[in-house]
Amino acid sequence: MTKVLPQGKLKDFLKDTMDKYSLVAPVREDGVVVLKPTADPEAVVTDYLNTVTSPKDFFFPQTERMFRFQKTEGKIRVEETTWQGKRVIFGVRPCDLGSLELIDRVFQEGEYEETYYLARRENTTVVGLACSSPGPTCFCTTFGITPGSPEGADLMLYPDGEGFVVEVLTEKGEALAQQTETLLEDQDVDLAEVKGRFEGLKVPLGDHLSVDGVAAKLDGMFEHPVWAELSPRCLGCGICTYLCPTCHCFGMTDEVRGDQGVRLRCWDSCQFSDFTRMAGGHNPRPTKKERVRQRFMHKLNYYVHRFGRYLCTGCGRCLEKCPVGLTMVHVIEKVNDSGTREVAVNE
Amino acid sequence: MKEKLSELKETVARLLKDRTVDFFIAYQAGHSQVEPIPFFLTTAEHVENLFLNNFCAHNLSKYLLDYLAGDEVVGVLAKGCDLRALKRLLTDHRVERGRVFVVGLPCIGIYDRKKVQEVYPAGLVEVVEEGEEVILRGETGDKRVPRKEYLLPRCLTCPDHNPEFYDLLLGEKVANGPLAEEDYSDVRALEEWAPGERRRYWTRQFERCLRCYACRNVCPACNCRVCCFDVAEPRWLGKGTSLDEQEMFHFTRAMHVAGRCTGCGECERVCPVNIPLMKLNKKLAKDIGALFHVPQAEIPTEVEPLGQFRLGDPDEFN
Amino acid sequence: MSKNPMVPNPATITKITSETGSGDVKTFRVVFDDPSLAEGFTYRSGQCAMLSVFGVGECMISITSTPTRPGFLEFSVKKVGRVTDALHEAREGDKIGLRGPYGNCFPLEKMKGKNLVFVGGGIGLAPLRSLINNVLDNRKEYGRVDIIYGARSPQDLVFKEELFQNWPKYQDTHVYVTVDAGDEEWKGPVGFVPPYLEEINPSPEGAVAVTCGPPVMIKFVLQSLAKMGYTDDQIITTLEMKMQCGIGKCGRCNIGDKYVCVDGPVFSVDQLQALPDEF
Ligand SMILES: Cc1cc2nc3c(=O)[nH]c(=O)nc-3n(C[C@H](O)[C@H](O)[C@H](O)COP(=O)(O)OP(=O)(O)OC[C@H]3O[C@@H](n4cnc5c(N)ncnc54)[C@H](O)[C@@H]3O)c2cc1C
Ligand code: SF4
Ligand code: SF4
Ligand code: SF4
Ligand code: SF4
Ligand code: FES
Repeated sequence: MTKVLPQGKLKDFLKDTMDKYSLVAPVREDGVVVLKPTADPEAVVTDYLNTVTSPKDFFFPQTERMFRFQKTEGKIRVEETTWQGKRVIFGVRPCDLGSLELIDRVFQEGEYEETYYLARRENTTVVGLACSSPGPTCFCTTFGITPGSPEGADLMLYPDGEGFVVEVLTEKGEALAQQTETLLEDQDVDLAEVKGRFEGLKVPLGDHLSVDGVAAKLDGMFEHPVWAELSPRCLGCGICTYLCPTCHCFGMTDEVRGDQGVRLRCWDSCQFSDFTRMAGGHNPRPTKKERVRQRFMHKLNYYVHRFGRYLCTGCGRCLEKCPVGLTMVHVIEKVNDSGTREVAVNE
Repeated sequence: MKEKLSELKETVARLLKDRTVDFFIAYQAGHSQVEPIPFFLTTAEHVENLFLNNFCAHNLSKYLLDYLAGDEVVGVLAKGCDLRALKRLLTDHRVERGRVFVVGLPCIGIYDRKKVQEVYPAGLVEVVEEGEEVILRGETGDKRVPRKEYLLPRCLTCPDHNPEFYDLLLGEKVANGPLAEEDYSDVRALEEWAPGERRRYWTRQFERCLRCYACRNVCPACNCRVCCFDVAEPRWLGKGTSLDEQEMFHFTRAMHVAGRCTGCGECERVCPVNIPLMKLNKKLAKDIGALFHVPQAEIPTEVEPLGQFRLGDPDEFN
Repeated sequence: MSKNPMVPNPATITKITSETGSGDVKTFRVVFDDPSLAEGFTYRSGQCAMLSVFGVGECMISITSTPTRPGFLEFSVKKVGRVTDALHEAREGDKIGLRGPYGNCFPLEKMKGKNLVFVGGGIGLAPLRSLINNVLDNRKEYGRVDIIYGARSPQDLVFKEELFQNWPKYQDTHVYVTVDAGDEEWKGPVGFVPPYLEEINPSPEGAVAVTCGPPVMIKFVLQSLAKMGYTDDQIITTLEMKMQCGIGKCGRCNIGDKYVCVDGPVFSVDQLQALPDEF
């Protein structure tokens, strides 16, 4: 027996969820689908290729308050702030599920833990949603993810006929299934068969794009002319890194009013010109060339050296949104082509 | 526009060969038909990869700011709107005319990728113009749609389809005159709303803003040497994102381009989360037009409407 | 201490020493407010800490005191920007925040029994000072010690008391100080550090050289050392990159796949050779 959530019960599922959790879900707003906290199940949509913004926003928010401080009479009081909540994020696509596992490594492994992220991770239940029709910018399969991959979800929904086949993957997923128990029907559905169908779906772009050997090839491409060819068109904006579900760079800033204040941890982007500018003006990445190189080397080489995986899940956001087409696919193709033939400049 | 490709190739090859220009900025094919991307050509061989169609929206002259320090002569392809942007940079004394070689491109309108993609989510092969209609030719068949409805907003009100000046013109000039009158209907509609409703509308927009600064980086009027949003000391704009900061960003941006905005709509086009920046820009253009009697606030002039003082200027604080 | 590595611990500035003539470098002696930290904080020479001025921000500064002299920490800070300006405004008794220690350290084990050559420039003597005092406190475990130091002018020399009075008193310890440009009172050598180093020419035989200073100086010192016969694995230096978190998370300080905040700041030259040229 497999649990199934009938299509007609989706709103109730979200409502029951909200009895115990706060809800973040895809909402259509002024022509774009964004992930947003919502209290209105009616506003939640499921007919999107993927959300413009990614679930990382709710684990690694653009602005996180780290601590408060207060100066009084020659004393300083520092009071750590921790995120309090219990949240469900609904409708996360497989590529974005995969991205959480990639950021986990950065914030969890090594000598130190990034506790703000981990607190949110621990208290959030992720509901994944398998993709029925991958789009022209999707290339998850390039990175071994499929339209049906549940890795990273606590509870996975596979759209099937008039409902969603439910797979419970973790304790948190189990708790949510119990919370919404009355809505889930036990049906005679072969979960493995359903999953298999999604795993086998064609992802046209991804199926033809391979990253095999790209990291190794890039070991020798730091000084390759490709960076000078690709970078002039970059606008140096934050679109690619802010929308990317795997980018995770940040900076810190203090805000004060009188003798009290907060320290905030804010998103930052390696594509911004002041990202590595030091006091005195020295900047090891002074031009777009170094900055564009950093973005792609980080994802396709440095991260691989540190964690053994590529820092991209083929979500396609940079393809869809970079105003000048400086995309992951484009760069992987360039790297694949380099060496096998004379690199055609700029194309 | 496609038909001008071979002429463009010849022209650019020649300019590069005879060193009239050190490099040339035009377009190359992108991920699909609807998204050509900027292309920096440094040798004549590169012209093979030139690309041209009616989706070539990017204003390429903004890139000139990246080359201020050198002494290269930069060739650039410019439509009517791009030329107004270039004029912005020239009148702001940011770019020297002598270092730009303008290849003018008469243009009857650029299609709005977002609108076309709604009709054709994937597999668009080509766009064929037939008078007032276009045929969107896709892998799954054709679709015939009214041309005007699929153009970028800026093209509808474009006052000059032919670049005002150039060093060389590609093909013949096209018939001029806007396709639709600028009646600020968008702005007027908003003005009708109750204040609370407007407030909610803009709050929703600003809260969605990522502060990615793409709108600023693409804007020809945002050409300050150091942008106030990037100054760390004093910090005019906090790094944190909150409604206050987002509003501060949007009001500052809008006011800094007020009277200088060329109406190109590039800001709104690149915004990844559909913030209707043009509604703000148009509102200011409309008000400046009315208050300071500037008929075409979006055409760059040596002295800006807000960069001068006249005794007759409205002075409501008195 | 909080489990959260990003939250600074309150500490008090107990002593401020102005090092240079213009006062642009000051040394701050700092003690944690929390007694268990004041006692229990351990670090090794070469490591750094994040100093917070609440309301202004943080900056990464080398610990210039030596773990062999516990009870307090010392930081020598050059006034160059927002946070360092604010630190320079501070007075004895003021509160700051501290978190750390961060980064790797100088390979003391590898240096035992060796002749040591320290080559510093400007504020670059700050991390070396921790190491030098550490070595001198265990003087007999090391061979000959040569300290070669330079600054732009006599006014810019730091740690003058130690340079001219304390260190030369130790056995087989030789201090050489030069300035780029002298003044009326300066009687010592005038000239850049690298040629001065070549002039002194300490033998590479059984030696380890450690150099810290401005990037240009390091570049030429490395060339000089190579000329003098030092191999890459005999030379140790420190790198500086822009930092925010100090704990390998913010993604800012990398050179290739190495994060200077956790994998550095101390590198041997053969390690440096393996890094892309982007610092
Ligand atoms: C490993 C290491 C050890 C250092 N040791 C010392 C020392 O012992 N004494 C000393 O005077 N200086 C040292 N520095 C340099 C010192 O960190 C910078 O001078 C300081 O961060 C400048 O901060 P600011 O706010 O005054 O300058 P601003 O230019 O206003 O900087 C703003 C922010 O940028 C970052 N930043 C700017 N420049 C640097 C930089 N060079 N390195 C790291 N982060 C930077 C900081 O987070 C700073 O808060 C060290 C740097 C590193 C990386
Ligand atoms: S690559 Fe594209 S999205 Fe990223 S900074 Fe450059 S222009 Fe912006
Ligand atoms: S690099 Fe592009 S495709 Fe890859 S995860 Fe980031 S936004 Fe998605
Ligand atoms: S481009 Fe859009 S999201 Fe980015 S800063 Fe401008 S308005 Fe905000
Ligand atoms: S504000 Fe927008 S429309 Fe106006 S010039 Fe700038 S990019 Fe163009
Ligand atoms: S300073 Fe943040 S990763 Fe090194």
